[in-house]
Amino acid sequence: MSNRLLFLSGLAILMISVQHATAYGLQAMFSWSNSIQTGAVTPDEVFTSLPYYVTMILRQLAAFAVPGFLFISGYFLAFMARGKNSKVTFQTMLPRIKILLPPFFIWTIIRFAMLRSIPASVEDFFQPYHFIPLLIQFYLIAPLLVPLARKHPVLLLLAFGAMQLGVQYFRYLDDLGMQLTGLSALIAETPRWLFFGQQPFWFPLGLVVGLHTQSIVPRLVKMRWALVAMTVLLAILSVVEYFVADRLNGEIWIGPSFSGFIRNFYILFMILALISIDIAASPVKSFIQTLGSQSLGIYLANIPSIYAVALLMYHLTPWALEIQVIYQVVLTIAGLAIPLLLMRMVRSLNSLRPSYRYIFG
Amino acid sequence: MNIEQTLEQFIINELLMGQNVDIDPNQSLTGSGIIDSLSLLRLIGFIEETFSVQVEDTELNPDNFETLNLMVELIEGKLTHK
Repeated sequence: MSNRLLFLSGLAILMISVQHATAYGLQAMFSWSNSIQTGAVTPDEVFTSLPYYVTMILRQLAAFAVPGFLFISGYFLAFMARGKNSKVTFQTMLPRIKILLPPFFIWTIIRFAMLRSIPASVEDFFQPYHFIPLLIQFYLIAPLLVPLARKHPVLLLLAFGAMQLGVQYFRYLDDLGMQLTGLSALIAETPRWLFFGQQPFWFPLGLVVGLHTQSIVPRLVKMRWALVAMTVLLAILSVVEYFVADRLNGEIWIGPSFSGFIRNFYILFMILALISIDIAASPVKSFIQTLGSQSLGIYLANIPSIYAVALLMYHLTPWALEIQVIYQVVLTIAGLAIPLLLMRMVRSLNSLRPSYRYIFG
Repeated sequence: MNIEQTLEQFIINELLMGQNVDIDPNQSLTGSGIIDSLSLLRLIGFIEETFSVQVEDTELNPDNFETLNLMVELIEGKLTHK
């Protein structure tokens, strides 16, 4: 299982880099590229272009990244709770929370310094690194979650699953332009960085799978190929859902952040498939696991790295912004390579080495 | 180097990035925040590769990984039954 979780962590961090690169890809397509700025290409033409479709498909497929990290963290909590004399209390979770806080603040400050701005709202402050505040909240409620996951795992998952789908249902209505009383308030109260917001299900799922590994994982392994088939089917359906919802929305673009319902099930089956299958040893697997073992540090340094490279390319190689296959691939690689280089640099310098955990977690 | 020293060196060099700390063989590694989800996965990978043993899912619990001594016991048990 540890190998599979490391692989999931590696794929998840790869997908984080893809997600952030596609965001800059969309920005280039709709506002930064020469062709759009000179009017040679209109936004309507962008919406029917192949790079746009490929970018949106990649964004849908990459959606399991943060859920994957939350699942792994939930599984780790189960590890802490599985011992004969183990007790998960606020005191046992406190060291974990203390380690997460310094890197969160350091990289949030770095990001705002690079943007030369200050947070406009609480949402603005927490949103970019929302995985960290989410994780801290789950650690804080861990003493409540563990007994529930032990005694009533199905009930726990149903409750958190319903919470997730419920919040997303209201967001769905909002995305489709429905005007309902209280809808805006409800959406404002359920941001992505709050645990009851948009993805409350994945951490408890990891916790339940971790606590009941012996009964769950062998069953999953038996039906692993069915899980893979369902993952592929749901991936296709989630992409179809996005474009259908966008069409239903009429003239107004539904936007890059629309999630839809089917994507939840795609993510679920993707995670279950990845923890059920042993992928044959290969250099690619080994590389992904290496990424996985350093995923928190990469996650933290990814946003500033991609931003810096996107800005450099905008000024130095504006022609590259027209060729999305180059632009997004370069950004994705930079979003992995620069954090890895920074981590190596801090590790290798004796004066910085003691600060490593404060910077990269 | 014995098993305990090998593990201690890995934890200090790779997980704590060379921080100047002494790890007591009975010190709680999760309780002190030394081990988190990713470092646990790395530690298991290191143990499996270095000592050529397989850590089963059922063995993944604090009774085997909470302290250096418990990890040494687990590895020694596995090497004995090889």
